[in-house]
Amino acid sequence: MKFQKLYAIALAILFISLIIGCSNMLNKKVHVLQHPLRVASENQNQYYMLPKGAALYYDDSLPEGADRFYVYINIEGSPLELKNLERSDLIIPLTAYPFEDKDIVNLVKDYPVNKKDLSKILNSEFLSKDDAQEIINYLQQYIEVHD
Amino acid sequence: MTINKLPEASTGANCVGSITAHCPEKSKLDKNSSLVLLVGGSYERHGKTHPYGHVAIRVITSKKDITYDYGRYGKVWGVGGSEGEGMLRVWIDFSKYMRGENATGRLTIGHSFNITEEDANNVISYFEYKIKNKTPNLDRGFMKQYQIVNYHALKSNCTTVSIDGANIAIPSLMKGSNKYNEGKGLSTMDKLAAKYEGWPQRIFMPADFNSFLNGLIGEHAPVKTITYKK
Repeated sequence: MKFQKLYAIALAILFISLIIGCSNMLNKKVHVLQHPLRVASENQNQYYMLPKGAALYYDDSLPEGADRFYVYINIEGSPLELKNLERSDLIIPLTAYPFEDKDIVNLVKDYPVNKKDLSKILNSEFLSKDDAQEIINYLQQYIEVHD
Repeated sequence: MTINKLPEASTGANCVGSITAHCPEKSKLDKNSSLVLLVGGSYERHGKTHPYGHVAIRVITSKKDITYDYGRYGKVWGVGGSEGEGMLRVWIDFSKYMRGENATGRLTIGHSFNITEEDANNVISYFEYKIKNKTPNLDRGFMKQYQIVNYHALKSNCTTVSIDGANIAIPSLMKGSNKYNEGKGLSTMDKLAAKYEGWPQRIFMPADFNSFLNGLIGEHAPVKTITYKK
């Protein structure tokens, strides 16, 4: 009798977990980048980019104000070496943020960015028209000096 | 970043005859600098409320305007990410800090206190000491990020770090604050977990801090409150 009760409770928990799991899957929200986004890992302040078209799967938002996303990447070629996480609940995030004035000049210097990417960045929702104009002026000055 | 020198004092009533000399007495009396405690409220995102809020501290002198913002901007772990690498963000462009806060859609209240330039520089020195000999792990020009003491939701968070900084300039700031330590913004489950772990002896939630600051009266009250919202 006791075993039957435990079995029923276990089944109920499994059923509820399945419903929650399915519900989370159905509610999965995604953002497809409309313009490249600058991304940095700890101590790597360089100009890496998430490209336009990258799908960011919403995970959560933090009290500090940032939104956290998953990105799925199919890596081809040699298998990458794996190690165990120091602890199972550890999250090691990258930090991504929109481009700002001087970033764009550094980006143009250090990264193979094309005209289309640049146009998308300048037209992104993160930049006001004034900001975009300021960046264009900055770029023009940079080109004049280095031409 | 370098440790600031104390500002040169202006001449005044207490400094008659010392037109070019330093006048520390005058410097101590003139509350010509500001300390602003920025308390961000809850916000909605994709149908979910994020109720905890956020606190940062801004120091304004005749020469500097720096905002210190501590939080989980690196690795996180623990239940609901309640612990993590504690990152101190040092913003030298306040508008850029506020742009990020306003992007959440939440309301931020700036509680502004007049302090002397000497006290303001002491707060700046206090934070500079925390990042002494550290290299920023993120540098956006207008904001540099440094890893300092680990974050813990109950013991070392944005509220406690900001309060510790504010105490340097206003040692009596938190007098009578214990009755506001209610855990506003925490769910019932959060409160149970916090009680199990040991309820902090000091205010640790932004909403409690905001209530406390709103309740200050007379000479202890902020000289003004500023509201920021998109």
